[in-house]
Amino acid sequence: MNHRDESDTPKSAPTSAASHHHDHAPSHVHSHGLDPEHSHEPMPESVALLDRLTTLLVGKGLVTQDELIAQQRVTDNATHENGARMVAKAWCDPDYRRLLLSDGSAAAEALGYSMAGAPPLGVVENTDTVHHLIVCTLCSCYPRQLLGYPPEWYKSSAYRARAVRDPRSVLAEWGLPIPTSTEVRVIDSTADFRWMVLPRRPAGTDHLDEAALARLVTRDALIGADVLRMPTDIPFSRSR
Amino acid sequence: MTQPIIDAQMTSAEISDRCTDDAPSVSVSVNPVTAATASLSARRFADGQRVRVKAEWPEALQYVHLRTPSYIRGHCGVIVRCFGAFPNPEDLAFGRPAPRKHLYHVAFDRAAVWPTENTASAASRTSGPDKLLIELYEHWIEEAT
Repeated sequence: MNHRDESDTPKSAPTSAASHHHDHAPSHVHSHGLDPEHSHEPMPESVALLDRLTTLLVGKGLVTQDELIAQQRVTDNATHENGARMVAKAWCDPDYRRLLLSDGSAAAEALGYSMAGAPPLGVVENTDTVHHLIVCTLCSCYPRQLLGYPPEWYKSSAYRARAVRDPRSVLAEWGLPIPTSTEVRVIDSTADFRWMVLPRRPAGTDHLDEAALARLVTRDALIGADVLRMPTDIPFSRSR
Repeated sequence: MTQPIIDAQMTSAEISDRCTDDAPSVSVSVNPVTAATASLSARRFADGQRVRVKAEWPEALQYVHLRTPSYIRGHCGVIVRCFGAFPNPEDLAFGRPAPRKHLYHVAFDRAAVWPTENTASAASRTSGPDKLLIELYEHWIEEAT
């Protein structure tokens, strides 16, 4: 499976948090069940806490070991390619687009992505007049069933603080200046929904089919941290 | 004062002690979702209504689990939509019966919440004001007068 966007193009957290930036070899990704964006092994204290918690949950009959393993497998296997397929279908199929924007969870299930046990999914559409950016200032809420694990920068204090204070500067620092004619809407994912962005379809892609369109959709675009373009001479390279 | 089940500063040994069957504050036998069957009243706020987030700080008085960011408390916004009702996470977090509460999407003017940030950009724009969209529970908002 291709985890191109998860490992090859880490976006550094805004501002001085760049000092917290770590590179990690792709071979390390998914080598264990914990967050693949962390380059460190988890702290023994955290592992001990997790062990005690799961032992308690299983012991009290609240979950079974099999359920825990199954849920972890779903999360481990999810990548942004799930969300990308939903976006590509929405670009091609007006009925699916309406479903996606009115009931994101139903739209995910319609493509075979189980949302069992997941919070409801809301999807917001980026247009030439509105740009949405997703953040979770309280923690790191993220639609993991459809995007996989959140990137390290998404969980950084710098991103979480600055996304709500000055989103235009954050986007500009990533090479995404938002035109003055476009309103920025920051979704702070504070409670019971998870949020995904339906990005704008790049110009010049009329000839592409759904599968080819899905390959254009980056992980970051699905949370408003990227603007999609038709690749020209350097396919899929977004190094910046 | 409500005693938290597990605190971030606790050691593994303390956590282990706390997580025993006879720990007084643990009541995991209650299923909060099914236990909270109290009838739900109609939503209080209409789409488009101007509201204020309560400027309350319960975390100063006791251990709490809140989904209302501190930066938005006391600010006025506009109801965008009601998502329906969800078991109150402030109760779920402590394993208490969790009555369902209406959850709203509320829009705030970013520049009003952060008046000293990016003022140049705000002045030069031709679009509508940049917004913050936040999920807030009904018991955290009140009519703005």
